[in-house]
Amino acid sequence: MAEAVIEVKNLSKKYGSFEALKNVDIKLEKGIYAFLGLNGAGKTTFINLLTDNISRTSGDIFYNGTEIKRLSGKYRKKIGYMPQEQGYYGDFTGREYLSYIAGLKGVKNKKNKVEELLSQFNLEDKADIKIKKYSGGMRQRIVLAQTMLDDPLIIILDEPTVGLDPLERRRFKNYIKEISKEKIVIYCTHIISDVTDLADRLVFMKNGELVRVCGIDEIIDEAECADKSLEMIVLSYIN
Amino acid sequence: MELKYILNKGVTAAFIVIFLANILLFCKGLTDSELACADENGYAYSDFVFYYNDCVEFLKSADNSELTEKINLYYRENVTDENKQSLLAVVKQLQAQADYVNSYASDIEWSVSQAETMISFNIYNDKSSYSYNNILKGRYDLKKLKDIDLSVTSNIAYDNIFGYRYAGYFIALIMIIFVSRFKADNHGFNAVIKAAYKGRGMLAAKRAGLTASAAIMATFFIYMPIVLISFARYGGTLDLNSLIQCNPLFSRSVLIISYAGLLGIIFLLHCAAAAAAGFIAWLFFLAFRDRHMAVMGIVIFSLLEGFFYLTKSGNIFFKFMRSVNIFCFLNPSGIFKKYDNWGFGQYIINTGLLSVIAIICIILFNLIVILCISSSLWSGIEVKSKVLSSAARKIRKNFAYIPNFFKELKKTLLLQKGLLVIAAALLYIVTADFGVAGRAENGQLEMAEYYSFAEGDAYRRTDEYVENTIKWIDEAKKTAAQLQEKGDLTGSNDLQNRIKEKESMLNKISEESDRVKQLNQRGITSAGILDTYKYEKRYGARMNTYYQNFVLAVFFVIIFLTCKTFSIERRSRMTSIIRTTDFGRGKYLRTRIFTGVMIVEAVVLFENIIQFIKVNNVFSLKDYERPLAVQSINCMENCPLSLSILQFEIVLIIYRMAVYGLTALFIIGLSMYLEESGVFFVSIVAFLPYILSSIGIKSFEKLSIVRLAAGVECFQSPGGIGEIIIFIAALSVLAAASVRMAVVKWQRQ
Repeated sequence: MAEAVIEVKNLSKKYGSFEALKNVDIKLEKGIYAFLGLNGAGKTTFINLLTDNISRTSGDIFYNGTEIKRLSGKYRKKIGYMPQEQGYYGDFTGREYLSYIAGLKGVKNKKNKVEELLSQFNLEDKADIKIKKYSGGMRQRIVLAQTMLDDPLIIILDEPTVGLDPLERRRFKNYIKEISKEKIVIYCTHIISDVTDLADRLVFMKNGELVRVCGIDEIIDEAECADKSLEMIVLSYIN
Repeated sequence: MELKYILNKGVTAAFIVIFLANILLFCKGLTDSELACADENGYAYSDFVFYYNDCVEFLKSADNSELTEKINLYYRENVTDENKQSLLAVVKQLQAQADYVNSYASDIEWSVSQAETMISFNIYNDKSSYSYNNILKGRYDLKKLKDIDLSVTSNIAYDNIFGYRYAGYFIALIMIIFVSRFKADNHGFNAVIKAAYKGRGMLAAKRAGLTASAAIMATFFIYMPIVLISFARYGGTLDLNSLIQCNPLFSRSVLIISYAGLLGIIFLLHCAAAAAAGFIAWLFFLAFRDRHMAVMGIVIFSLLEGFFYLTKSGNIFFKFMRSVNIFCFLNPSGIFKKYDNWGFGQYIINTGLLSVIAIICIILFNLIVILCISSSLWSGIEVKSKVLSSAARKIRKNFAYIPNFFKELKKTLLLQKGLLVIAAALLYIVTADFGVAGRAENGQLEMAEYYSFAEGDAYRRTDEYVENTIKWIDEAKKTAAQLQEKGDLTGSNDLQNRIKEKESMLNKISEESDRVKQLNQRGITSAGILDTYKYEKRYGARMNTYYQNFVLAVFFVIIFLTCKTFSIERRSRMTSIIRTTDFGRGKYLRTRIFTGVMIVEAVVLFENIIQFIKVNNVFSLKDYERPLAVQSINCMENCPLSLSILQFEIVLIIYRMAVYGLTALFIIGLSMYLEESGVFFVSIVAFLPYILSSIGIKSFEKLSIVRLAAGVECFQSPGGIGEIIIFIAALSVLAAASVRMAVVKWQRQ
């Protein structure tokens, strides 16, 4: 599998006079990136720009050296995206929903892939029930499952573990670890334990700016040296 | 606060649509009667109304014994060549009213004496029987009417107000929508209130108060416009203080009250019926956990009530069920139009009074049950079937992998409630006759013999028919003379009448023949003689009103089917997921727009076929077999297109399909920017010229898109064709711009 690299240069986004993102520069290579920041720090805006769901004010995003606007559909084919708000049709069944998204993604062997994901996300039994009758955790799983259709190289997850119970959360983290070997996983969250278990690198955001990008080990060392909890260290960067 | 939550944009839009539909339905009914009058009697209804009210005013000073004399005097003083027909109709109408007023006291006396005679019959010997006591009560009630003073009043407005049956149904619909919002998900807010101290009871009491207020408001906005429009159009306000018995509609009503009093009582009864309908519907929403089951329950309840209401049996049980029926409450003026009792043995009650008591009891009973249920922890019945759910799951599994094209169809039909809209529209199109069905019978017979003979190739066979008829007339004249000589005057007179009919028919055929020759001279060689009555009616003014009603209904179907096309993606938060997929910005958009237009076109084509069959049943088009020019029809004489009648019908359908398709495209594009309520607002603005022209402001008619879409009137003149071209061009530009902007927004956000 070809290696994926995303380079973000001078990326900015303004909503009227409000600057949601300010001159962000970052290079993303294979591995799990945890984006940490308070509400309004610019995480979702960054993700929306990365998925080309909103227009940028300035800056460039390159995928393997080519501007993503030029790649258009070819770039989107590499992405698996789970938005912060659960997107689904309540009157579709789980199976139908995955099959619909698979159709939009142009997945070959659609049926096999959908069945495989239903099994992986433990939804086989409920696959023919309407999504509106699912519990919150099940809905989260089905939306997460659609992310993995077509085996994407870039996985973008905005608050993916919200609503999952501890067992589901552990299963999810294992799954992400397993599939992330050759992929870029961008992961926005508030839950610090998720980060320590999962992330290779941490990206701290504050007021639309990247405050620091570092490895998880560096933060753990910093916490030990300062004799502070990991949470306190994280908060010191984002607050 | 609670009201603000209930009246969201969608519900407000639905209420506005219901309000307008009520006014339009009422106005269309009036217009249709007016056009029918002009069609069948040959004078303008407005003239009739003017002279009618003027004459009623003139009669005010007269004593009841002088009414006939005064009516004749009015006729003599006002008659001219132009108004003769309308004035004659006024005289006929007012003479009938004068006869009714003058004979009222004796009619009542006769009924009372009839009752006394009946009591003396042996079969009514049993003084404890219902029959005996019913007659006694009838006699007692009717005696009260003996000495009332009646006069000739202006009845047209009152006839229309008290004859309009749909106000109650519209009010009930508003109430059902209103209370259904109590069941809607409000992001857990209900749970918070219910958990509060006394929260459940307080919430239920507050909602009960809101339901009662909504009943008053709904009645005000549905019933009052009917009253105001009627008075504005037909006068009659000067008679508000007259007794309702002045109107033959209420000849047997035992409630001695003025028109104003009755209007007030009916308003109150409408309010009570609305509250009853609201509370019943609310009870269903409380009794069933699932909203769909509650709606199903309401439908079944309505069907049952409908069955009892329509069963005209004299059986004590059915009579009771008919009197305490919600449909009876929803048409309160019907309660006062008849005199009827119900009961057993010596216990007898007037059915009107029984209905009023029943409404009050139903309101109180429902209110108590609602408050009890709402204050408790019970959350309603949950209906489940293992067999059904297992079958449903199997079906869903089998259909899960159908191509996305069909899933887009499913989104429109199920998620956007398209199936419901289509079913309602079909029911409406099939059942509503728009005031046209069965009105052509007499006219159709007029020249039936000739048309039946000439069918197939009328023009060539006309000479043959005329020749045969002239021969028949000559023979008949001889026979009539012989019969007269023999002294058989009846036989002779009959034959003379037949001869006159035949001669009059020959004149008509000759006129038609001349007209066709003129058309031939204009170069329209395929013109021919047609069944004038049928064809003139089929494409004439009254049918144009029918077509406009139909087109309006179709427009609403299109709006309902397409207004959620993209808003459903926003609401289900699927926009960003779809846009991030490979085909999410191109193929998806094309499929979504195409399926939307396809469904609209399929539905409207089907509805056009049903409409065509319905019209054809009344005004059949046997002459399709002949390729006659459309100009053969009198009202289409100036049509600039060289088409046969069949080709014209096809062109008309293609034109309308194009209009519907473009409208669908425009609304689909609009749905990218606006929610349903916004789309409805834009639609109502677009229909404003039609609405204004429907309620009598005719200067807006030219701008009415409903008139332009109906098309028939436009095809009747070269100027009309120009209007059609401009209309289609403007609609195309709007549709293209709307879709283009939607595509750009979706692709760039």
